[in-house]
Amino acid sequence: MSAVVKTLTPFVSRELLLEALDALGISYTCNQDQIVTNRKDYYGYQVFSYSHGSGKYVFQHDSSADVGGRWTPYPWGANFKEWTTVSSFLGAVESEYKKAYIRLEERVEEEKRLEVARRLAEEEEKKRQFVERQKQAILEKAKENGYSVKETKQGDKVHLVLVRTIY
Amino acid sequence: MAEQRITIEIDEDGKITAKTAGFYGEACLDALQDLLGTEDVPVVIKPSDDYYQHRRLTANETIRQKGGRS
Repeated sequence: MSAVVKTLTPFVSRELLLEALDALGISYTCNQDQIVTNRKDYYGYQVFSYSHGSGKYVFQHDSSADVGGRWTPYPWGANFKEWTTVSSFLGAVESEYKKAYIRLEERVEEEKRLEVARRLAEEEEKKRQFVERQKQAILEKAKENGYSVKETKQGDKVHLVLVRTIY
Repeated sequence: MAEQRITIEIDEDGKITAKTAGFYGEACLDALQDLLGTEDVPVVIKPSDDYYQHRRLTANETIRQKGGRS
C-alpha cells in the first residue's frame, strides 16, 4: 500500500488564524492559548489550542467524526452547517490563512512604502528649512551691507540679485 | 559711482553659486565671505577679468616704482 500524506500549512500566527476564522464567519472566543470555535462535537466546542512545544495551533476535535476526511454518520450530533468534515473545515481555514498572510505581506509592504515616503518628506522639509535659513541670513547681511535685493524663484532654486552703488 | 552686483543661486540642497560683478581684486571674495559666512568652503572659484585687474595694476605700479628708484 502506498500513501501520500499532506499536512496543512501550520497555523503559527494567532493574528492570521483569527483573520481566517473571521473570513469564514466562524464565531470564536479567545483564551490565553486557545481559540474556542462555535463548532461543537461530542466533546464540546472544537478548539484551536496553541502548542508551545511545536509552536503552532493544533485543532482539537472528536476525531471519530472525521475518519480519513470522509463524513461518517455522527450519532452525537454536531452543529456544522458548512464544512461537515474536520479536514474540509481545516482546508477552508488554511485557504483563508494563506490569503490573510498575503494581505499581511501587502500591508507590510505598504507600511514600508509609507515609512520611506514619510522619511523622505522629513528630509525634504529639513532641506527646505535649511535653504530658508540660509537665504534669510544672506538677506540680513545684504541689508547690513547696503545692497538692494531682488529675489526670484526658478523651479526649486532661489535666485538673489544683490546690487549696491559705491561712490 | 560704480555698481557692485552679486548674483546668488541657492539650489534645493542649499548649494550656493555666487557671481560677482563690479568688484576688483579680492574685494569680491571678501564681500562674498561677508555675506555667506566662513563656514562654507568654496569648492570652485573661477576668477574673472575684474579679479586680475587690480593685481595687474599693482604689479605695474611696483615695477614703475622700482624703475624710478634705480
